[in-house]
Amino acid sequence: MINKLSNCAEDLTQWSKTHCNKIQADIERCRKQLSQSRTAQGIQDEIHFDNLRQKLNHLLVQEDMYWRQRAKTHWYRDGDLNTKNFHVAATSRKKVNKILSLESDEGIRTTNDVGMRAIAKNYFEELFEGHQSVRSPVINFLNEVIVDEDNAQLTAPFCKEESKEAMFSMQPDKCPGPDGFNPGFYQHFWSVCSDDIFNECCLWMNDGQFPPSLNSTNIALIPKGTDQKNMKDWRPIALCNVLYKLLSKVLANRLKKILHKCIADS
Amino acid sequence: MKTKTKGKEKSVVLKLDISKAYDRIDWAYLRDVMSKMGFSEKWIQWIMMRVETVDYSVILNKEMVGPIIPGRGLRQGDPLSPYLFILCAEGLSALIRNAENRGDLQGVRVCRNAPRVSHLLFADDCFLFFQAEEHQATIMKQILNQYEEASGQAISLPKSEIFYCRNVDEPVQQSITNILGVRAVLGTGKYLGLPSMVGRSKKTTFNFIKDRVWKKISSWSSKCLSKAGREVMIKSVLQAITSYVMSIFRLPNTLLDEIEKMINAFWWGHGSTSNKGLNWLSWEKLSVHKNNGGMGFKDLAAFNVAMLGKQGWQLQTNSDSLVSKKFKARYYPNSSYLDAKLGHNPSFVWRSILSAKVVVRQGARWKIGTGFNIPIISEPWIGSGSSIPPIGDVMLALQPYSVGYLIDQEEKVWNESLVRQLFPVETAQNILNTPLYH
Repeated sequence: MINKLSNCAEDLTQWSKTHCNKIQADIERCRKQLSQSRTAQGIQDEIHFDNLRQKLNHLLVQEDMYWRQRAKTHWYRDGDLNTKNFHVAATSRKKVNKILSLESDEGIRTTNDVGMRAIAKNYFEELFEGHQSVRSPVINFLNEVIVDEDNAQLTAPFCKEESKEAMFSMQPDKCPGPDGFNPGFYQHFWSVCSDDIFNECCLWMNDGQFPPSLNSTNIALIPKGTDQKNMKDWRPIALCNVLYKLLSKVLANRLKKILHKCIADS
Repeated sequence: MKTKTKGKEKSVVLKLDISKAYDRIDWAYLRDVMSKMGFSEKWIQWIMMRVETVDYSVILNKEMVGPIIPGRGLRQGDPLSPYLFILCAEGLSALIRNAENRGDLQGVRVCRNAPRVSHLLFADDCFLFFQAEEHQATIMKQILNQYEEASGQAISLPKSEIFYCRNVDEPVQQSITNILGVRAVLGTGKYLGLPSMVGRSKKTTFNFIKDRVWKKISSWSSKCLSKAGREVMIKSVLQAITSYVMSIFRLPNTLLDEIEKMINAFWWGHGSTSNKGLNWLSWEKLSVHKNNGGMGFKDLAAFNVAMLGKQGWQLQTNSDSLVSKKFKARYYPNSSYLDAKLGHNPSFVWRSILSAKVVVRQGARWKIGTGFNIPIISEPWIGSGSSIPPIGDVMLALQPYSVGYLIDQEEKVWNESLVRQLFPVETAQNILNTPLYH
């Protein structure tokens, strides 16, 4: 499964290099041809003209889709085609999310990429470093609330319905994880790949083993507040692989059902 | 929520600041919590395998830094994390409950007979309530330390906020502040994104909504929206900003008015900074439904009342929830939401919710079962929601009786002869058409 995905990703990258980069140029060319054939007369030319116009429309829609995905304005999902707006939204997003400088713990500002990378790495390594914890005083006060029945429900074998529900509850345009596929991809090709995915998931769950590449996660940094100085002013958001999220959602949906037993009213 | 109470009980509210709550959860702690709660081995293994096998790479200006192999923490962005976090927070809850049972801590109640509340947790927003005694403060501090040790959470007390009831003496305040190490600030912060204290001037408290709308409108990208795009933006973004706050509070009319004006100016699209240009139609006309020639924008004031009405309906129908119990004890111990009065020294929230009562009442219908809880006169219990028209002397005589007397309780049908005998023909027919539920 993992291999298939990475192969697919490679092919897609190749394909996009040869096909997609030229949308702008294509549009220009199409416009030119259109204006040339506008003056021409005769049946043949008219058909040609119509064809060209359809092609241009098609290209424009494609361009719009491209910017729409980059703009990440989810509220605009049902709105009209508006390339300019998406373009602006994407540009301003890029500007806001760009990290210009970082301050290290000692208060030294760095603006070059190498230095900033080192700071980020240090920060997160420190943050996620494991600590020895004293747990018994807290644990002892917890009550046992889960009964066998709940456990049976929680660990029941997967069913297809569950995974489908989980998959389609994701926003298609959300950011992809390290494998580079967003939920929209899986949703679109669900009929093709659902069996593969489902079987693979069952396998993983039965073995209790996860392929490590599946669980690797990107951390994107999102600005907090108005001006950012050091790492604390950036909120880390984990971007997981969609397949991982799929499993998570299924488990979360199961946990949700019995959660009311575990927690107090407040 | 309602910390305004004065009185004999001297209480303290502590709002905790938990920094990087998700990232610091200790894995071993999570495992222990789950196994103590009785989750099966298999389930725990499933969860831990997804939590523990992570590696991170940080995206910094499109370049990857990493991999970083973590030793703790849940991921923000993983659908499972919030639930796991709740499980972990249950540890704190258990500690507090235990101390309460021992009698070392005492929560706060809004009035006599109301349930005592000692803590409100929602993800990493956390409120603690206890009595203003040095002893209790020390215990609380101990509990927090224990929880920190166990779960790996970092509770930053200097950044936490504390609020004393007005009747707590100055020296006591001082010593509690010292014990906890809190900077004594008035509760100006937010709980779940809502202002936790509402002062005298409602307009200044809620001005942040206006600012937010304003920011959205004046941002660069909104300027190149098409007309249709603006409609979508107004409906799905601008009006949504207000709706969350409006579900709890009745916003001042002047504020709503200003927001509506801003949106209107945005709709007619002359650079929102200037007041020049014509607004071709008033907001009243735009907020008519599309079928009737408007744009279907929302009348914010009406929408506000509707949202509050929903809260009221929750209070009326879902009487087991914590909020319902609190409100019931405080404001209507012997009746229901629909019959409640404002009461003395009401909180702003209660004022808000009560202001929607009229609307809820108009829309509410009785479902008649045995009918013994419904008085014949003055309640709108007949078919389409009307009440008995107040005609005739019979009505006065019926005053003390409930609808139950009109029903044949054994057969569970209307007592037809009695109904026909008591009421005019039309009313009687209406009554007989009203369905009975059992």
